[in-house]
Amino acid sequence: MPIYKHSDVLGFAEFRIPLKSKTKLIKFFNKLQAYVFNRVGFLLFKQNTLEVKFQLLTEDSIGVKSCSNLKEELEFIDINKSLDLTRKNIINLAKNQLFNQFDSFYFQEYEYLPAHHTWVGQILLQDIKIKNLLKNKKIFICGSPSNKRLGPFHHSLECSNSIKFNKNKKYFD
Amino acid sequence: MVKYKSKIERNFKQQIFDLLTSNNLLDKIRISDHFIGSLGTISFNEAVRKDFIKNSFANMIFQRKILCQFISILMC
Repeated sequence: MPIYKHSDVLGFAEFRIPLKSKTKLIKFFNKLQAYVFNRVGFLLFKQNTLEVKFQLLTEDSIGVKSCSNLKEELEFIDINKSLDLTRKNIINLAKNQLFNQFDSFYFQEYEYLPAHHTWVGQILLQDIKIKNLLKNKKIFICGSPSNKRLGPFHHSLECSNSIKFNKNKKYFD
Repeated sequence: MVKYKSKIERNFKQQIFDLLTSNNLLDKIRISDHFIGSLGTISFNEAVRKDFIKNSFANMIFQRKILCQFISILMC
């Protein structure tokens, strides 16, 4: 189910078979059942509830800085110091949309996992020094960065398709 | 040999790092990301009714089509 902010798609909520159980055997069976259902679409036993998972997008909100101890290491920083708040607002938006759509929706707040997929690179590619290094073949890019923007969905398929349909374009020498 | 290799790696890393810091590129870098998590639960029946889950096999069982056939075979 897509999650919207005005008319933009921010991400999606999906429904999964709950895997949590106190008994190891039931947990194993649930995992097996979820695997079969995700691959084939057949469910062997009817469930009472489904778990609601989400994947949502925050654009250009994380910066990097060098670690004070190790000069070669980088760490992620929150540039506006309001990333947690932004994420909470987006989660609330998703929550309201689910409440509107489903009468049986029961909200339970869990901690989220940030930076599940990350994407960066437009600014690096626009820099003259980097541009010249790339032009003179002093550096090569393997994978990210690219001029693409991270959309609400996973970018792997989009990237693989763009490579597939541009077979003549040389990515590496 | 190992030392030589690691020295090249170290130099390369340092050069990249210097390039990023000297040009103030580090401050300009912005990363987009996805965050994932769980929001709660919904009822299975509602998800099926609203066509969010297509579950033909489970529906067949609970419409008792297969179950009735199975019992009738057993009875025979």
